[in-house]
Amino acid sequence: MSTRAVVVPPVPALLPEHASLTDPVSDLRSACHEAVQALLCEAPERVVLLADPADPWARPVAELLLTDAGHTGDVAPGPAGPDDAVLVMANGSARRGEVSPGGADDRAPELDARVEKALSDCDGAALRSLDAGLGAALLASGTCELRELGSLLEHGSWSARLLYSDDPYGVQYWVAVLAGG
Amino acid sequence: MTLRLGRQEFADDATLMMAIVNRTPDSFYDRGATWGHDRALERVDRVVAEGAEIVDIGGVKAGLGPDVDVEEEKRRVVDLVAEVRSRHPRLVISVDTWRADVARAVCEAGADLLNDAWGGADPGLAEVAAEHDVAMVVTHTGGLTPRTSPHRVRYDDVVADAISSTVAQAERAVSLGVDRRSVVIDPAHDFGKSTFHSLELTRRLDEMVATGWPVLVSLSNKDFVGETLGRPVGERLLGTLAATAVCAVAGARVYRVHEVAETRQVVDMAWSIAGRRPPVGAIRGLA
Repeated sequence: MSTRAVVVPPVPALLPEHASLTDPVSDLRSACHEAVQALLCEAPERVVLLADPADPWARPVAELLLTDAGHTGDVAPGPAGPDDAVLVMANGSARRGEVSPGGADDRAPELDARVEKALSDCDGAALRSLDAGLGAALLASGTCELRELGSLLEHGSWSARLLYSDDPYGVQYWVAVLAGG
Repeated sequence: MTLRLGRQEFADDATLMMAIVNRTPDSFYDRGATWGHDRALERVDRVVAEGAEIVDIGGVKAGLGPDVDVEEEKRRVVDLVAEVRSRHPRLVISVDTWRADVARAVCEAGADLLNDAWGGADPGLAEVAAEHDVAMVVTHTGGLTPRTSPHRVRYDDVVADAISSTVAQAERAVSLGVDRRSVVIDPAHDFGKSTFHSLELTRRLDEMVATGWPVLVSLSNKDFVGETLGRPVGERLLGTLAATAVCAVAGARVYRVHEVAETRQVVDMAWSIAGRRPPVGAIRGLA
């Protein structure tokens, strides 16, 4: 099965204008590159980008990752068709604890665990049932886009590889590669 | 343009700490603390550990004082240069001297850079630099005789004077065979200048930087800092660092200093404010 969709977080620290002498997100960056390269391995003419329009970093980070991986084709908005290569920009809560940008919220760990399990299990129904309002309240990005991904996963047979799952700065990041369709 | 200091080359956005090492019994700041050969070597080891890229070894106090002849100056610095060379093969060794005879001896002992702090008082110095393929710092003193103090100096425009003098010395050195990548210009705060002159040079340092020649500043604990703040020697670090920050924003490349670690932080911070150096690790607001 070939890679059909990947999920990466729209982290502004990934952008070159935010470069430091030592990369604070080097492991995340490596995982993002690996995932996007997998998405582009069959050189799709276009990539469908599912990015939260309320997150100003989602599109620039997506474009950077695609360009770095050599994509020269179109970047199209959703909805995604059954044969499209799909890049989903999403991350979990930024209210996981004291070090999180949004402080602590007791609901954050449960939401993040739920998303991670749904991604790992390719559970389209679980993703589709995510509460966008709760996601916004917990400063998650791309909850609606994960719901769209859920709709895709409900058709065909899928498998997932989670390349990265961590919250080094209090924001839950995943890098997931989904094959199938 | 790459900066080449003898054996070492540095990128055109690199800032360099030049640590002062006085092989003198009477320099104004340390008052003979590194006069002994072993004390001077310890000072070199310490500033290298603090990250200095250059040491500037001097055998003659800049200010008024007992005469130090060529032979005595050589006795003070040549063996020290040779020993520092063998202990720190990658360190840039500068020697602060205005005398060609001393310069020739220290080049043979392993020096990389001649700091002509008295503005070309001995025209033979540049020829020695060319002969040994070492670098040079050329300075503005307003024509002051070595080891004398300024008295009632007047410039129409001190910055224009500093630029024309140092650029002319730099071009002369190149014409004599010194590598164009190996000449640094220094406005020489306090030398042949009142405090007002040194303040103006600091304020308008960007004009010197705009010449394209790499600029060295030697601000450390000097009288212009002391007079500006009303502070004696020993209480001038904060004023020195403030002047350092201003020069760093303007783009000075080399900092001749007593306090290496403190100056390095100030220069790095100012360099980043100026947009020439990334932060060490920025994640605030970007996670």
